[in-house]
Amino acid sequence: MGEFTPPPANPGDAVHAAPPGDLAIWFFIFAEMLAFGVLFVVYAFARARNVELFNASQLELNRLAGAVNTLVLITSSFCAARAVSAIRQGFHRRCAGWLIGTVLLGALFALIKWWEYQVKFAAGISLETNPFFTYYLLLTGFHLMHVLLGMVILGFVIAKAWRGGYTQQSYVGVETGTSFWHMVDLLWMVLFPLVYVIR
Amino acid sequence: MSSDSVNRNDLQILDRTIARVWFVLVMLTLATFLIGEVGLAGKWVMLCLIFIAFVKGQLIARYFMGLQSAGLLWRGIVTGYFMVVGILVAVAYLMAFH
Repeated sequence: MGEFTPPPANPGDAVHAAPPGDLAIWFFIFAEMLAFGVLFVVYAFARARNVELFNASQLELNRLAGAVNTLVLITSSFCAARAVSAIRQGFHRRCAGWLIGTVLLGALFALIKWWEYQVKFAAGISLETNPFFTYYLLLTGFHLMHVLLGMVILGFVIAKAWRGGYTQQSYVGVETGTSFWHMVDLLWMVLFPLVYVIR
Repeated sequence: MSSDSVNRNDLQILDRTIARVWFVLVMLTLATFLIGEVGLAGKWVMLCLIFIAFVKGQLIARYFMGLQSAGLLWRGIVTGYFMVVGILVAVAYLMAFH
């Protein structure tokens, strides 16, 4: 997989060469990752104090829905990465097409999560049921908000890409929007095993 | 060969790399799911699942986010993040085993 490693624009920048997209989005991404990181660790230590309750409650989650949603997000991130590749080749409509695929998969993720919540709420589970479900609803709910925000951001990028607002030479907006989306995917890679699988 | 066609060739190689990364991520997700379905548990299973999450995070950051071509500093932040969060989560779970 390491067969393609573009060299830094300036070899002297090997350590500090900027990441793709607007630099400001990376400070936002790292702030969000830090916030989620704290929540992940707090969840793990809360579980250590109440292992039996957390293990029993975890069994009530729909692991298949969690796994399907993981595959949906991974595929959406794949589409986002292909959108960047398309605009770098000068195909603005193709770029918009890949981004539409990304957003549709994001919508599928949100739909599955919404269904999961409905099943839990119908079973009488809420934020107050027990500490595990408090963390489950807060962590996944906070993450879902980021999915929805990512869809809105990509919606603006799609509109501009479709109109030809990005070119082979100028596509920072596409990289900025997709970087945010990949962060949403990245966080779910920790959230899924942590909340649904590890016991 | 013009620089434009060289660039396009590079991007086509990148597209294939992205597809391979997607496949590996799918396989790792299925492995995580199956470990849960079989009901495997214990210290080593927990550490294995955290390691899988670490590998998935690295793949997404480097190949999907494009940090492979960014400076070492930026890759280091993401790697460091996964290591710190992974180690702290592992410590919490190990405490629970005792």
